[in-house]
Amino acid sequence: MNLWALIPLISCVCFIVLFLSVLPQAKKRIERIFALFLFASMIWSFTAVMLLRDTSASSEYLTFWNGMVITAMPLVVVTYYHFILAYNNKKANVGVWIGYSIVLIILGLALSGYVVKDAYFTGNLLYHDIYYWDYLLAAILIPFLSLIILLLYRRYKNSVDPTDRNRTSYLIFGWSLLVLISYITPFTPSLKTLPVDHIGNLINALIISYTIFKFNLLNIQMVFRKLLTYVIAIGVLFSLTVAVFFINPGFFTSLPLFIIVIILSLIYTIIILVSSPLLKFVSKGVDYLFYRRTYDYRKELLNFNKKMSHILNLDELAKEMLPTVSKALNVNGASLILQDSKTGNFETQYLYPETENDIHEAAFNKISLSPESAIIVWMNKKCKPFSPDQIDTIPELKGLWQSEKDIIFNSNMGLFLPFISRDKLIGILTLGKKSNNSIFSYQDIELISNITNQAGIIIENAQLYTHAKIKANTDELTGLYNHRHFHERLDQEIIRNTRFGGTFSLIMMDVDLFKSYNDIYGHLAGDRVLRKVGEYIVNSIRGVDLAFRYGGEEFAVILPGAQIEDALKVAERIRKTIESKSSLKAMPITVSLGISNWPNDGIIKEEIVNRADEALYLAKQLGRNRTCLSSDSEKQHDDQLISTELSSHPKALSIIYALAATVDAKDSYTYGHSRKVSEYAIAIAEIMGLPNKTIDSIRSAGLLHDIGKIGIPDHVLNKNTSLNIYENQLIRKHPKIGSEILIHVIDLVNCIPAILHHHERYDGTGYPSGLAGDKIPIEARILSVADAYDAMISPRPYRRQLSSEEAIEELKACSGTQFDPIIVDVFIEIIQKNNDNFIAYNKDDYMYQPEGQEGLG
Amino acid sequence: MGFEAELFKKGRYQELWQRCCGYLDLSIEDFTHIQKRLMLEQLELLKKCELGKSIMGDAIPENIEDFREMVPLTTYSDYAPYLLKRRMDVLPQRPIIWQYTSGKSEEYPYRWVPVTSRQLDQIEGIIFAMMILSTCNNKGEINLKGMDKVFYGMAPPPYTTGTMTRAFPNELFDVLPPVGEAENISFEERIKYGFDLAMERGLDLCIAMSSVNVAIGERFGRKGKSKTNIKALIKKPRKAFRLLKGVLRSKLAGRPMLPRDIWKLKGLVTFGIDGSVYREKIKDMWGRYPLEFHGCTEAIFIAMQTWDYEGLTFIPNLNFFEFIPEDEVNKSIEDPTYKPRTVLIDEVIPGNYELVISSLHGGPFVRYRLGHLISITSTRNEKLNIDIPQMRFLTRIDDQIDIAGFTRLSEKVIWKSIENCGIGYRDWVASKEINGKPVLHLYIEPDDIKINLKELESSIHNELKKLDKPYSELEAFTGLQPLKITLLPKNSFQAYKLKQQALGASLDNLSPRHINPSRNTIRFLLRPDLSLLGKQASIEKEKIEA
Repeated sequence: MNLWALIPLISCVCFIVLFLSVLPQAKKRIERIFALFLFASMIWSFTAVMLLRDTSASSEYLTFWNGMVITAMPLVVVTYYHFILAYNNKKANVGVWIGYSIVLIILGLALSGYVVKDAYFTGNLLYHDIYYWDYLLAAILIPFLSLIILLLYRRYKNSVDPTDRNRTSYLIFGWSLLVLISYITPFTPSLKTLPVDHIGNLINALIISYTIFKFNLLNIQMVFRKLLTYVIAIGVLFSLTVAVFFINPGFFTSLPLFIIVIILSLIYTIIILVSSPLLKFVSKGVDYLFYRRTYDYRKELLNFNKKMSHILNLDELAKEMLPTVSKALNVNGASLILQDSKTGNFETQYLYPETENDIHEAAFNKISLSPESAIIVWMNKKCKPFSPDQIDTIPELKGLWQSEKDIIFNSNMGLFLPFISRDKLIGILTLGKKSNNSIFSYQDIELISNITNQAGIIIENAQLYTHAKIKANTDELTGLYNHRHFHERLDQEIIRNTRFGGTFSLIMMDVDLFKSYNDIYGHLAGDRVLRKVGEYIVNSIRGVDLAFRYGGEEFAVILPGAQIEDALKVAERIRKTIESKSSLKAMPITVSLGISNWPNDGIIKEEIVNRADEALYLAKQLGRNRTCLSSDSEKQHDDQLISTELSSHPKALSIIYALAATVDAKDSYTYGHSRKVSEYAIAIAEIMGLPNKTIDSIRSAGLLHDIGKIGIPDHVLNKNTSLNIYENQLIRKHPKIGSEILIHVIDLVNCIPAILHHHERYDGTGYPSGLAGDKIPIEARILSVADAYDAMISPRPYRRQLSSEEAIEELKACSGTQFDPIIVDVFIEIIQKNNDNFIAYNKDDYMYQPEGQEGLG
Repeated sequence: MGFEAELFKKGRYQELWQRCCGYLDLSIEDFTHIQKRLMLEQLELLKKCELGKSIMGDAIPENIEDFREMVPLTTYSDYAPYLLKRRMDVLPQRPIIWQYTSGKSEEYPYRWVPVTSRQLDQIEGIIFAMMILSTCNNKGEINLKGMDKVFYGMAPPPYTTGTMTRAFPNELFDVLPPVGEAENISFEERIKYGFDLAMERGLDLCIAMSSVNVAIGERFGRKGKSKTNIKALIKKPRKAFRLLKGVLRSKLAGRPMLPRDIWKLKGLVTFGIDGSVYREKIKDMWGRYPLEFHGCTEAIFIAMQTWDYEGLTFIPNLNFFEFIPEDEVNKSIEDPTYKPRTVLIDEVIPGNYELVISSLHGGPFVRYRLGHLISITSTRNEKLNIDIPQMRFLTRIDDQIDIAGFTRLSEKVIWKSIENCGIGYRDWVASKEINGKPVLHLYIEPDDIKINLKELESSIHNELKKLDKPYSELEAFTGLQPLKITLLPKNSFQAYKLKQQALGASLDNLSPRHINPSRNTIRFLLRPDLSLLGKQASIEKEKIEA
C-alpha cells in the first residue's frame, strides 16, 4: 500500500465517525445539511484513498479515480456553502443550486474522461495531466469560497452573543485553513503531487467537531462523545500496527499490505468491542478529556446520588450537595431554596459558598419568592429547569413582577432546577454561572436533574424530620427550646469551644414571685406571662444566642462567643425589657438573672449551670429583679451588686403579693378577694383624681387590707354560721393586727392608715377608732366601699350572694351612714358604666392583665 | 435595541416566537394567572400614588376579588384633573411618553394618556408579534427578514400609533419613509412619500389604518387613468419596472390597477375600529387579508388576530380585562347610579360585553370603561387550538362616535355643528352605522319639514370640518364624507317621550340619548306611534273639561 494513502484514509475514517454521529439525530434542516457536508467530505477522502492506495494501478483506474476526486472537491465546497447558509437562518438560494449543477457537470465530464487526461505514479507520488478548462472549473468555485467567508464574517460582526461569536470564529478559522491547504496546494507545483489537501479538510472537520461539543453548534455532543471513544481505541491499535510495520517491514510479507491493514483493523475492532475493561479505560480517558478537572467531582456527584437516600438532615444534605454540585459542574456557587414554614415563601436557606469572602467573581443574593409568583407556579407545573435568560421567552412568566425579575437576576444564579416530590414543588436548586462563562450543556442538566429528581423526596423527608426534631426540642408553651435541648446544646457548645478555643456565657433566669402571681391570677394567666417573657427574651438576644425554657418559670440563654461582660449587657436588656412591659395595675412581673461563663466558671456542664444558678439565687436573695454574676455569689456582699436599679416600689409590691396570696389562701371563700378590692379601690381613686402616690398606697392597702386575718383562728374565719360576740371581737381586731404587722415593713408604712381604718363608718360608729366623716383617711373610706361591695357580691356560707344591682342598692342605702356618699356615687358610676368589664378601658396598657379576671378583680 | 430585536438579529427565531407569540399557547388558567398577578403588582403601585388613592378612596384591596368589589368603575373624567395637566408626580410610575386622542371637544380637546417604559417594553413585543403573525402561515413560522421594506402608515406621535413607532424596531427594517424624515412632514405627505419609496424599493409589509389602505388602493385605480411622467420613470428604472408590471397585470385582468399588481406583500396589518368593514375590500386590493388588532389610546393593545384572520385573541400582559355583560351595560345607561357586574376573562361566554380595563406595568387606568362594545365570538379558537377567548369589536357605546380611526366625535361637537348651521329643529340623535363604509348617521326632527336635505347635509358637514380637525383630515385624505342625515317625522321625540312616560321611565330617560341610542329607539323615532299624541290630547282635554 502507498503510505500517502494513509492521510486521506484517516480523514475518511474521521468523516465516517462524524457522519454516523450526526445522521441519526439530524432532525432539523441545519443538521441534515451538515450531514450532507460530512458525507461529501467522506466521499472526497474515500476517492483519494482509492486513487492513492495502489501505486501499481492501471492508468485507466487512476484516471477514473482522479476524476472522482476532482468532482468530490467542489461538492464539499457547495455543501459547506449550503450549510453556512442554514447556519445563518437562510434558505438555499440560487447559488446553491448553481453549485450543485456545476458538480453534476463536472461529474459528467469526469465520467466521460474530460477532466483528467492521464494519471500515473512515479515512485509513491501521483502525477496527472489535466485539461485547461479544469482551471476554469476551479475558478467557478472561488465565489463559493469567498461567500462562505463573507457569510461567516457577517455573522460574526452582527452577533453580540459571545458564545455565538466564538463559535463563528472557529468556523472561519477552520474554513480559512481548508481553503489555504486544500484549494491552494493542488495548484502549487511543489505540493501538487502530495495529498496534503486532505489535511486541510481533516483539520476543518476536527474544528467543526470541536465547535460542536464546545459551543453547542449542534445538539449532537452526546453521541459524538461515545463514538469518539471507539474511534480513539481503534485509532490507537491501528497506529500500533502501522508502527510495527515501520519497525519491522518484513513482519507482514505473506499478504498484500492493504489486506493486512484491513484484517488487523477488523480484528482490533472486534477485540475492542468485546473487551470491556479496555473500553472502560478509553471511555474514562475520553470523559476526562471532555470534563478535565471536573471529572472527579462528576464521579463524586454520581456517588452522592447513591448515598443521598441515607441523609435525613437538611443541613447535612445541603452541606454535601452544594459543594459537590458546584465543583462537578464547574459553577461558582449553588444554593437551596426551600419553602419557609412560617411565611410560605420560597427562600434561599442554604448557600455555597457561604460568605461573600469565599466568592471571587460573583456575590450571590438570597432569593425570596411568593408561592403565587409566576416562576414558582411555572416550575410547579412544568417541573422543568430554567435559566434567567429564559425569563423573557417563557409565556407563562409574563406574569412575573418587576421586583421578582430583579430578585432572580440579582441572585447571580445561572440555572434553577426544581425539586419535586409527589408532583409538588418543594424546593429549588440554583446553580451559579459556569466558571468559563459557557452555557449549561444538555449533559450538565441531565446529570444534575438525576440528582434533583431523587432529592425531591429526600428533601421532603428531611423537612418532615427537621420539623419533628424542632418539635421535639421546642417548649410548646413559649416556643423556646426545651430543657432537653438545653443540655444538648450546652454539651455541643462545650465540645465546640474545647476543640476550637473560645468562650460562651450562660444566663439563668427566674420569674420573680411567679407562684404568687399564679395564686392570684390563676394558672392560665401565669401561662400567658411565661409566653410573653419568652417573647421578650427572644427579642432581646442576638440571632446566634439560644433561648430555652429550663422548666417552670425558669429560663436559660446560651450566648456563644460572649464574654461575661457582654452577657451582662444582654441580661440587663432582658430584665429591663420585661420590667418596662409590666402592667401598672396588675401585679408587676420582674425577673432575676444569674450569669456564668465558660471556661472561667468551670469547664464541665454541671459547673457552668451551678454557677449561673448560684448567681441567680443571689439575685433573689438580694431582692429580686436584678442580675448577678457568678463572681458575685462568691463575694456575697451587697456592695458588689451589679444591678441596683431596684426601686422600693416593685420590691414592696413583691412582698405585698406574697402576703396577699397567703391571706387569700387562708380563707377559701375569699380567694382573690384582696386583688378585687385593690382594683375596685384603684378605679375609684383614679376617677377621683388622687395623686399617684396615694393610688400606690391604695393598691397595696387593697391587697393587704385583710392581712390582719393572719392572726385570726381559721375556725372563726371559716365558720358557716353567724359569729358570736367573742368571735366578733376577734374579727374586729384584724385591722389592728394588720397595721402592726406592716409597721415593721418600711416600704408599706404608707398603707397602714387605710388598713387600720377600713372598717370605720362615715357616721362614726365603726371600728377600731370610731372616726367619722373626713376624719377617716380617704384611702380607708375608698377601701371600705370596695371591700363591702366585693363582699356582698361574693358567695359566703352564712348569707346569700347579692347581685350587682342589689349590692348597689345596699351601697346607696348606706351612703352617708356607713359610706362616704361621694365615694359611693363615684363607685356606682364606675360599676354601672363598665359593668363587669370596666377595667378593660385601659387593658392594652397592661401586658400581664389576666384574661377572664379583668374587671376590678 | 430591544430584546426582541436582538433575538431577531441573531436569528434566534424560536425564542423570538416564544417571546412575542408564545402567549397563544397559554391555557386560560395561565392567562388568568398572568392577569391577576400583574394586577396585584399594579395594586401595590396604585396604593402608593396619589392617583391610585384618589380612584380607590379608602379601599385597600389585597386581592382581585376585593379590588373588583371595592374599587368603582371609572371614566376619563376621573383622571382628567391629573392627566390633562400631565402630572407625573401622581402616577403609579413615571411615564416616558405622553400620547393623546381626541377628547370631549370643549371640555378637553385631547385625552392625554401616559405610557411607562415598562409598558413600552411590552408594546415592542406586541409589535413584533403583529409583524410575525401578519406574515406567517403556520405556528412558529417567521417569514420576516432583516431590512424587509415596511410601510408605516399610522398617525404620528403623540397619537398612540405614533407611540408604536417609538417601539418599532426601525433599525432592523427598511422603514418607508424613515421615521426621522416621516415625523417632520404631514400625514398625507408621509403616505405619499412612503408609497413613492415603496414603488422604487419594493414593499414587504404594510402597517396602516384600514381606511388608509383603502384610500391608497383607490388612488391606484385612479392613477392607472392618469398620465405617466415617462422622463421621471426613466430616471428610476426599478419604479418603472414595477409600474409596468402593475399595468400589465391589471390590463390582463381587465380592471384598474391595484396595489397587488405591483407588490406581493408578505404581510398586511391594519388598525382602526372599522377594520372589519374594509376587510374584503383590502383583500381585493392588496391580495391578502389584513391582520387586525384592536386597541385604543388608553389600552394601547387589547387583542390581535392570528394567521387564520378570524377572531381577535386577547393579549394578556398589557391590560387587566373585565367585561360588563350587555344587559348590565343597558341597566347602567338607564340608571347611571347602577353598579354593573363584571366578569373576568375566564368567566366570559359568547355574547356582547363592554370592555373594562385596568392598566398594568404602572399605567394609570383603574377599572376604566373604554366604551367599547365587543362580541366574544367563542371562548377558544378550535381551529388553531388557542385556549383564549376570541373577540370582535362591535361599536362604541359611550358618548363618542369613531369614524375610520381618524376622529372621535363627541355630543358637543355634533350639537354645535347643528346649531351653527342655523336650522330650526326639535331634537336629534346620532349613531354610527356601517354601510360598506363607516357612516355618521344624524337623525334630526326639523321644525320645518320642507328643509333641503342636501344643503343641510353639506352645511353640517362643513361645520364639523371646522370644529374637528381630524374630521376634516378624514375627507382630505380618504375622500370619505361619512355624514348622512335622515329627517324624522314631526313629533317623533314627543311620541317617544309619551311612550317612555307610559312605561314609567324616570325624568332622565324621557328623551333618548343623543349619541348611539339603541336600534329600537331609532326605529321608533323613524316610525313613531303618533296615536300616543292623540291619546295624550284627549286626556288633557278631559282634564280641562273636568
